[in-house]
Amino acid sequence: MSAPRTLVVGVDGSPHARRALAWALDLAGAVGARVVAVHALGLLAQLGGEAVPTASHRQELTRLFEEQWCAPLRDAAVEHRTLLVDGNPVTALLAAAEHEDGAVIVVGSRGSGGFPGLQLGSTSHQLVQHAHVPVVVIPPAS
Amino acid sequence: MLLVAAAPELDRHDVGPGHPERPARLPAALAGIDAADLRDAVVALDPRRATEAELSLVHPLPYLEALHAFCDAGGGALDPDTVAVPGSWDTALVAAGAVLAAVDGLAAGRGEVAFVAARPPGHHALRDEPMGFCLINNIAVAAAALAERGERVLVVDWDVHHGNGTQAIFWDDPRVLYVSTHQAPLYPGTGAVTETGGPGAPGLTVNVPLPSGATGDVVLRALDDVVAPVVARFAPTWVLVSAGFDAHRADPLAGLELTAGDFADLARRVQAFAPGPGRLALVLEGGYDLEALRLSVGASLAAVLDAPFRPEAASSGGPGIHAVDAARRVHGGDDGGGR
Repeated sequence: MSAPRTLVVGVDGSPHARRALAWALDLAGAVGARVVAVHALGLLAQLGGEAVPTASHRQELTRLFEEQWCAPLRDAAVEHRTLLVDGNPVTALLAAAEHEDGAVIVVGSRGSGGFPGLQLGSTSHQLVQHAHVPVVVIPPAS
Repeated sequence: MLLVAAAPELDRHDVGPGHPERPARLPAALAGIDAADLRDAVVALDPRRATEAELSLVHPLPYLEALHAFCDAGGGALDPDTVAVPGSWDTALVAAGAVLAAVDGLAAGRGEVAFVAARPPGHHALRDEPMGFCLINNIAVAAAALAERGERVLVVDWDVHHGNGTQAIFWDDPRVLYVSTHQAPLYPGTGAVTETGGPGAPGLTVNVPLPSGATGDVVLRALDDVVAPVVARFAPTWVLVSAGFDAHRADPLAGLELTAGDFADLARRVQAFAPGPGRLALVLEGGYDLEALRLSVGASLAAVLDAPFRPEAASSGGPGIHAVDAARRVHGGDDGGGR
């Protein structure tokens, strides 16, 4: 098996997503792969609070995504791309893997939520059910 | 008469504080009827649950079984937006059943128009995937039931979000014309003007994506210039409306600038698409500012019943005419095109 050329990673600013991105960057650095970081803007992501108009909140999320959540990409000497899309994370990650020729999808796991064994549930579980490429789920820190 | 299918007393889909798709939405929507002084026109329909056979016209049985089991097991987050609790399954059956009851009530000649105040909403739900607060695609279940009876169904979706689930379900179905006006870019990211239907139903999906800040006059222009010619060619025998009210300027989830007066005007336009009385049902989708929901529901229902309630003036002057023009070009303007 040849080394993967593109890793697709879900990022959302959470600790588990940071672990997933760090793992992907380590692998990408070791094998010379590129990393595509994806964040899906869901319905609740639009809810910025009463004092924050929606358009401004969207801009704020975009800034956070580019400047903070994806900062490790810039710090690593790895070819990368960032994608901010509207939709749910499963659909967004599957689409990114397809359109970016992703060889592996990497996500972090909260370690809760969802019910393994059902078709419904967590993002990582749904990805495993529907992806056409390997899915790496980074477990919780402890 | 106004048929009302609503059973807030059976609503057990409470996913916790802080979630905008909350039980209080139903009383707020129903309060619009009183605000518009329409109480005397109301015929309250008995609540009923959609059956497995009725749901299976849209959703595969394995999906329904998995969703049921998921709720029975305690529920949880289906995606970052969409949460189910133990009571969600039964509430979803009541919601889908409410749309079916509304359609059956109209078919029986019990009223001129129906309003369905039920939740969770449905238009994001795909055949085998919940998303965007939606578990069962309520309006699709009713549209599919009508189509099975040989009817030609127009679904107008004026929710601020694109109804990706409804579009996907009827993408290749020539019995259903799906029309959506929605904000873009915005969740769920679908609904481009170039999405016009599958090979079995070319031109029978109509999308008019509008920019943030668009006002009611732009949406009306979309209905008049883009949608009306397609509807005339399709000649629907029924009109179902995915009546989300989150395009209201006060809604916290989106950025369109509509008012209650605009929803009244939209309702009148869509009513004109129906072949006659008793073939129009408005089905609640989104709408998360409770006061905006109350006023907008009241104004919409008053408009289709020729009652005077219009608490907010129509809006105008926002961007988006170029998007309407683009959609008109895609769908052939007034002189053909479509199917």
